[in-house]
Amino acid sequence: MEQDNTQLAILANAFHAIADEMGAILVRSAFSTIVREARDCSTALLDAKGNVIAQAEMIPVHNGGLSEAFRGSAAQLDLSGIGPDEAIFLNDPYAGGQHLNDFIVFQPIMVEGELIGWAGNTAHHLDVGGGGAGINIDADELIQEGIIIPPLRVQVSRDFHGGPLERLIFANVRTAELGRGDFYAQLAANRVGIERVQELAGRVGARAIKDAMAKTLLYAERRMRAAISTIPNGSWTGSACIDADVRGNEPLEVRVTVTVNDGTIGLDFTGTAPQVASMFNSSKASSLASASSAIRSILADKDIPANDGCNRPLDIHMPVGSLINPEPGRPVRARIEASYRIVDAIHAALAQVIPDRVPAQGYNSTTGLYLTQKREHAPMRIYGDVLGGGYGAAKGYDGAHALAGILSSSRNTPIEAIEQIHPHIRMRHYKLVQDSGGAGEFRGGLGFSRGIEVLEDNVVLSYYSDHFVYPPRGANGGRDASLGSLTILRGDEVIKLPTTDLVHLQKGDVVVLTVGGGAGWGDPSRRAASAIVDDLADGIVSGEFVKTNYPHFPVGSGDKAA
Amino acid sequence: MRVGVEIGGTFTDLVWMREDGTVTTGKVPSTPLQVEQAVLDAIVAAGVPLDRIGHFSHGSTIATNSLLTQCGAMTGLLTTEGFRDVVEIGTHDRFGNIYTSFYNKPRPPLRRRDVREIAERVDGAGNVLTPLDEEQAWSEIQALLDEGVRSIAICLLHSYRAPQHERQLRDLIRRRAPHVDVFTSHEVSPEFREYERTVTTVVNAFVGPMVKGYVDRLGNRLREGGYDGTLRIIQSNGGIMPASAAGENAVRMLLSGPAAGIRAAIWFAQRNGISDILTLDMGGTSTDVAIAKNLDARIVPELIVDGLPIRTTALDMATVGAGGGSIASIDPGGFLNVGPASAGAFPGPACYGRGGDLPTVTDAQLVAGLLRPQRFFGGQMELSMDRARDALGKLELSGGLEERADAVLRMVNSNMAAAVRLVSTARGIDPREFTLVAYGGGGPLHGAMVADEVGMRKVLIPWSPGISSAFGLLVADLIVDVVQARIELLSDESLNFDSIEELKALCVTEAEKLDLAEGTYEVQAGLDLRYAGQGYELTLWRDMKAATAREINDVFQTEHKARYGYARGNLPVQVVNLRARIIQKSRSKIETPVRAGDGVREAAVIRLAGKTIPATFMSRSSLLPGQSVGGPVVLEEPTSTTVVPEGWCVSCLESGDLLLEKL
Repeated sequence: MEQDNTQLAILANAFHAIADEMGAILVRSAFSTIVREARDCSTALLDAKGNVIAQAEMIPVHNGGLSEAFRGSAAQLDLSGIGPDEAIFLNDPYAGGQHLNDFIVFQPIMVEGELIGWAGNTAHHLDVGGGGAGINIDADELIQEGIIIPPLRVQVSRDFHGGPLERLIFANVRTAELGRGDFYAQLAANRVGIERVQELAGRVGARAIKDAMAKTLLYAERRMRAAISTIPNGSWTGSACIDADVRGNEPLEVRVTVTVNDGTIGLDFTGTAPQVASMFNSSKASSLASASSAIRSILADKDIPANDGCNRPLDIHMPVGSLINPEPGRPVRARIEASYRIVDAIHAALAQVIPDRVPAQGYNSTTGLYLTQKREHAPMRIYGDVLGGGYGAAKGYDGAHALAGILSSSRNTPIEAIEQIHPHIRMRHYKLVQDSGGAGEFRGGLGFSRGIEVLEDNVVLSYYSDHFVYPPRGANGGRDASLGSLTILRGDEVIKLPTTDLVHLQKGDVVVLTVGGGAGWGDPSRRAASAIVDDLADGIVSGEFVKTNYPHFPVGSGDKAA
Repeated sequence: MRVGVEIGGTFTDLVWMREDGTVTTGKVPSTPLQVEQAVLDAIVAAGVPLDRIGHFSHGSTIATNSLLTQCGAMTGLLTTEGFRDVVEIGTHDRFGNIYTSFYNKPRPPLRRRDVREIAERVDGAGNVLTPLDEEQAWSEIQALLDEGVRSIAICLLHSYRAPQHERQLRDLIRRRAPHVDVFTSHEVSPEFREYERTVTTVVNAFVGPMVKGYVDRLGNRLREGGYDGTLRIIQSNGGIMPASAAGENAVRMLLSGPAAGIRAAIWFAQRNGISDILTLDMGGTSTDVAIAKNLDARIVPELIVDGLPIRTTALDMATVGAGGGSIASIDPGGFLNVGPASAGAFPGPACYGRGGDLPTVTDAQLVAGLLRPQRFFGGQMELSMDRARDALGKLELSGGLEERADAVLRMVNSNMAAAVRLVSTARGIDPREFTLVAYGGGGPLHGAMVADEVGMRKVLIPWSPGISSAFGLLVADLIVDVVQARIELLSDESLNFDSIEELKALCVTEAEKLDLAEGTYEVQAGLDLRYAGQGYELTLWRDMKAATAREINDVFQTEHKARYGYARGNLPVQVVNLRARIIQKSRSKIETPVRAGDGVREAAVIRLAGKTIPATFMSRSSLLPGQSVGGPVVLEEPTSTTVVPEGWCVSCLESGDLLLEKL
């Protein structure tokens, strides 16, 4: 019996290694900066029924998302008799996709004619058509956000590789060459996953693999239950809000009641704001993945493998027609902001019972910023960036500065690469913002700022972010963090813009994007003097900030305190 | 005569080749407080006559330790105005555990207060937009000096393409503050991507002065002992460089120990006529695995040390936390887990009796009967079976202690096999026809079992496998890598006559700096290529000869297809860097001694791969060249133990090396 357990553990490791290798291939062979540098993609192995067995450590919001996409596809397609040259292909957020930019591909893993699992991955495509390059902030229907691909059962050799489906899709994409490159990288990743599982089956047999897949799910479930059972039973409510819908001015609240009961967690989002007209709706797959990531992120056991077993101890209710489970047809492009508030609301609830394990709010937003330029007789230029902010502090932890939010893990593009690829812009600065982290016994991490000078005409800025109006909140007596902002410097004029907008720029404009910091944890008067001295010396905080927030610390006596 | 001395965490190994080509070895404890002392101890202990040594080669963990323990020169950084936080912001992503809310970024040894901005700017094409103002610059430098900075790294935007401002700053500092060490990014790592280039330059500035002090001290002491040759240092690319170049290029020494071992493995394979190998180097805390098809080890342009990307050429290897000291535990889901946590040299495995009480791989080897308590380390260090059994008893697995030990060994074999796959199948290479060269203290014990996991059928156990890294120092070539950023579309001009001449000139300059006589070395050219639009490059190496775009393109398409499974021949290909490599071959003839053993064979019961079976134990030297014996058999020697499982056969080759073959 234990011998079997060792073999199982070995196979579980092997599944994980395969998912990781798929991820490495995808990133290394992709073309767009959003996949190859920002790594906005995920790879996974699924069992024959479409449960995620192992997922590469890439993007948490895709966690379990692939199995939602598989379920959505299976509900619409007859998958019987599927063959090795076939694939499932989709991006529809109302069939398990996240937003239209995420192209999802599953390919069957066949061993001696038998289906034993699926290799699957998702990659964020820079452009998917729709009413605006980069993002279409004024879209009030899904269809205006780009081409909708419902789950399709396709023949890879016939439909892709120059075939009709590929031609149709990329005829609807502005940066078709990049998109095609990324898409081939997705196929390359799946190919590797399929080959590796087939090799594994050659060594241990298909039966052992199927058995190990089932037990790997049980294993993760066991660990998840064990980790959850360290939280006392009870019920707590938490909430958090995003600034507003596009061109709106009312905050939109996500509300949750968290019920812990002997190793299970119920998450009831009744009371959450209704769906909105524009792109800030969070698609269901994104919402579910965020809820599960929120729980994982505060468990003491950090090494629970990411598979569908982890979701079994969770019972999640998201009202249909709400901001986080909208009805079909609603736009969802900026789904990530409401998804982040799901994390914050769950943490706010749990902070009431395990305050020492829950962080204060981080900037917890993704800022998507696009500078596009239509050109005569030349393809359109699209510069895109996905940025995080400062991390919230926690007991024993000063928040990290300038880091991708916890639902994401995107890498920034080197300045030197941006300036080589995009001759229409130049970076003026890329720096941390002093005093932007919330004060506390442990302080929040700093946000950062990017200044981008526009060197040519016909450049259009479109972006979305959050926390321009309501700051990340401190915990346990810690202070709030600073707000984000976007301003345009045009000569002597300073133009301040809202949380999301679309603006036609002029040559010479400087776009200054500032993302905020994370909030503080614990009473600032308890912050160690030596920590304040270091923060002052490193310019993390100013003397003025110290005077206001740490009155117990005598500014000017820094040398003595050191 | 040649000597190689390799400092490891616990022991310092020496290999000495006499005039007639015969080899003597030595092993003394390392002296962490005064690192060079162990080198001299080893020399004295072995009785090496320094005044008659022609080549002294050295491998040291000094650079790695300096970085990992944050013990180096106080370093400041000069950067372009507006970009002070390139290092603080880093790559902005998380790796390791992506689900944690409490992430800490990897940090180079640099405080934010010691980063100063210089008013200057160059654009992506290399045009100067804002000229450097030396007075403003000097006030920033002065501020660093006032803080007590001893070493200054300079990394400005786009300097890989337009280095003039970095040069200006460097010369300014050398003129006005000659006591301070200065390192420019275009000299240390002239490649685009500002974060990686900055980190590499900063790390070099931090460890460089330390390394320079060390090699100077060691050089002096060797000279006092009568050695009048050049002190040579092993680098992470598996080549040797003269110590005089070590300070300026300290990052090249990071993680160089495993590279020396790979060089040795290649040498041993070659002398036995074996051409395609994988290497398995199992030490106390980790195992390093590399691949060398046609005995050509793959080179990568980047190392990750402590989460920091270091741009320096290195042998491509995978490292797993699977060593003799790796700790076995049961995770919260009830699965057995081995490593990467390690008991290290102190307290070490429970059976060492140094206070460790957690079950480790070595304890499992002992309880499974593969190691015999009185024969370990040539009988110089007795292992405690009781302590090993107590420790394994704490593992909550069912079955007897021997079964638990076997489970631990299977798990660690599987972890090592995963590393083998990472450098073979994950690179598009089928390992099954390759020979696994297993060395390091634990490699020979696990070699055949790991080979079984990946379907390999041959394992080579070299002479004295416990000191292979030191041996590698004797046989490593002198290698110096040069890189030149290009960033242009591949054309017939990319590697035309002029480019080649330019590369050759770079090599000549470099060779002169290193006192290499013309004609004693050869040069190779390399290109880092990608499809225009991709973010990562493939490096192709070739002879130092002009080539057309078409020739280069063909090789690139083939390589890309092999690596990623597809090629897109209609897309433009971009050159990112040109590379050149100076190689001075090591040409000495070396003979390892073959000793006849006592011939004693003993029987004992071992637990292996789920079975309890009787096995034969004998000393390795009892198996003479030309002789073979079928498994299960265990061959013991002072620095290692070779396990030949059931279904395998071991032969002693004419060279004295062992070849294990699957029947």
